[in-house]
Amino acid sequence: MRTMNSLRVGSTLVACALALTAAVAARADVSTERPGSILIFPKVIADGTRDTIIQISNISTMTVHAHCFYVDGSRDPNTLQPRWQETDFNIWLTRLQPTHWRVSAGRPVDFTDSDEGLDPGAVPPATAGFQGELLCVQVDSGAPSAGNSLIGDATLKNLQSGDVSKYNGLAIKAVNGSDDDLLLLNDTVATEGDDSAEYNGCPRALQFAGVRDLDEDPVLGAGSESRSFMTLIPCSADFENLVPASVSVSVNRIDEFETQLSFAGALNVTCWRELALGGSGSVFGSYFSGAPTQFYTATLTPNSQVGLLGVFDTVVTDSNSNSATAAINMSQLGADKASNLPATGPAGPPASIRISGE
Amino acid sequence: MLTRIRIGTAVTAAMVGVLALASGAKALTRSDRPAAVVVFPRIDVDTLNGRDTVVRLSNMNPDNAVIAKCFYVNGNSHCTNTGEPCTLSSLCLGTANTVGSCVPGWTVTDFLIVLTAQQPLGWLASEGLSGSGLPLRGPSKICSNSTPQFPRGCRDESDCRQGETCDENQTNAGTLIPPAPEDPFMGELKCVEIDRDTDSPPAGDAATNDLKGEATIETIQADGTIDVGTYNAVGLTSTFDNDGNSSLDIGNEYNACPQTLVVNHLFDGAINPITSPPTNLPDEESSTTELALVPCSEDLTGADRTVGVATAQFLVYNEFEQRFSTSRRIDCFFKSQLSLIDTTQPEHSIWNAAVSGTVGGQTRVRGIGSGLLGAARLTMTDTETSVSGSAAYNVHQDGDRTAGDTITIP
Repeated sequence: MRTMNSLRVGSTLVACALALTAAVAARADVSTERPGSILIFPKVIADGTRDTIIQISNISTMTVHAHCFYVDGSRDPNTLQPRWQETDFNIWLTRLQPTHWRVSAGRPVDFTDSDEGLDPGAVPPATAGFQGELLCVQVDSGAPSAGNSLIGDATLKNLQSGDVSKYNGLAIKAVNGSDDDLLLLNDTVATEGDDSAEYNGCPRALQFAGVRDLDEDPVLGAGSESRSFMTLIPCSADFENLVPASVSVSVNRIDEFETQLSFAGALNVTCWRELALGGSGSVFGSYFSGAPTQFYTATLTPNSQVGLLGVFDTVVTDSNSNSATAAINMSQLGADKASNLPATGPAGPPASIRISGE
Repeated sequence: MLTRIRIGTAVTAAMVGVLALASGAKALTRSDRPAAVVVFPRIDVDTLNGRDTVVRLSNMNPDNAVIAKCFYVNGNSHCTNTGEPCTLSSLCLGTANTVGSCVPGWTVTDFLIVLTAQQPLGWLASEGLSGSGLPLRGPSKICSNSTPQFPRGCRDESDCRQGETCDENQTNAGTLIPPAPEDPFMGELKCVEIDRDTDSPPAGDAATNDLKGEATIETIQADGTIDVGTYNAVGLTSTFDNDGNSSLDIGNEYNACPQTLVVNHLFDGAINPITSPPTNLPDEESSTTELALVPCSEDLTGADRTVGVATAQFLVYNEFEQRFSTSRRIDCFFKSQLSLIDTTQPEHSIWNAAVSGTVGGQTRVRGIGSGLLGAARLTMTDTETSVSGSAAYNVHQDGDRTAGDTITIP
């Protein structure tokens, strides 16, 4: 009898412990600073005008393998739809090893070339005119691994002006990892207590702070102009069936007068999308350029569990047409007390990434 | 008996696991989420040389105004003979060809910022923001159908139209952001969410994580070209366990500072992987990286200047997985080109591409005595034309400090 009681007490404590584990672990989601098992670079360009340097580091003391996917999101000139062409390759990094490559050139395994260091694997050059994303999943013997060992940075350079911008790769932390090729990004506050969590959930919303589009830059003054761009990708992806994910997004802008204005139009992101916030041809019209104050913040809320990730760029131009670009990671709002968002997100299955076999 | 031992072992193991995970889950010192304390590791003003910083601070709370107590920490060194800001003693030339010493200093300038619900606020560090420059100025109470932008003030409902009530009005009143204390200025900006009544951080569940910040450093270069770099302020999130006093316990009341900062960088002097056109000619284009570090522990009352003094241990890994190391004392503020951290001769530095032997590197920075936070800046320069472009970025974080840090505010 005492043994039975002990068993019950023990079971209860273990259950409480597991529940607490899930609750505690549920606080984090996609990070721009902390390591993870899925590393995503939403904006990678090698189109002849700009090129990108990818830097990835293994922060663990074990050798790490990763299965990476370039996704070309440039628009087909005939259909005007994103190509969504996927190119995959493998890299491996020894303990604490950093590596880099130029996206337009890739990095072949060649110990005689000018790229000193241990080549991380045969990294192919991106296709001509590449505009898209890079996603790497940490694997072990071909299967997803929950090592949380990857961090990365992307540096974009304008080949004409020499202008440089840099942002951090977005890392999704594995909770328990996945035992198949479907990686569920299902650890959110809404699923607290569910011990089937595989990877941290996508953010409930993205937020960025900007300067009124087409307005003069605060430092450069008269004759200057500030323009902003955002690059967005769905959080979900299916590399096995090559089906691009699509997500509709609600946009809400708040200015220094505390005035809130929702974007009335429809914003859909399929595969990969770079958007100008103002100027001719912008889908936003005067939504951002017509803000009543110079500074504003905007929140992007995906209307489905597909989720959304992105990077924000500002290009300033002076009166002599010199320009410079700054990239910054968007802020991420989760469904916790800090985010002021409701705990329950949109209906539907969680975001997921289906990787193809090697 | 054996069963009970097994149960006890299982329970102990589960609880240990929970504690380990709970500890790990505190890893929320992040620049990509709102927080109760935000740290801008690098604010740069030098208007004579065309450099200034645009600071943006936003309140993410949908309903309530927040008050942030902010601190410019001046990291300038000064000449002992002239009192002017300096970077090297050789620049301290006084009258009659006397040469003084360039001595590190540390002064703190504090001020308040009141942000209404969800309001963003931006200002130039060289100019500050106050008075008529504030977006929302108005009476403390307004009639219910008027807006913060066009307020109709009231003392009670009798001052309002029929059916209206006389409500509290959220304004920026009380905000007085001074210009950076010196020009040139190089230092840190730190903002702490406080309670209006107690002048200290809100206690317990009243704590909120509402602040989000960004800094854009812009430079008009000598040749007329421009350069811009933006980074996110690093946030320390409240654990909702604050005791409400002016000593901020980082690691308990707030989530812990990172154990290690990780910087992905190109080694200084490395030929840029991207050249235009790609010729791989030596010295055609080279890169340098600057690192700014500030301590997690700080006594912002100025009473104890030893608080926050740390030794930064640097472990540098190249693409051969080879390791180099050095260390450096950090006082209140540290900024240096990587290849000048360990030597005055950059060509001999462990961060020099010719010494390290590879283009890319990973530098791991660990603070002893205090945690560290930081931001980095990459500059790529065409050595023929001297045209350069740069980018600011946030450094990565790994692990959490088990030794706590303390920020003391006045």
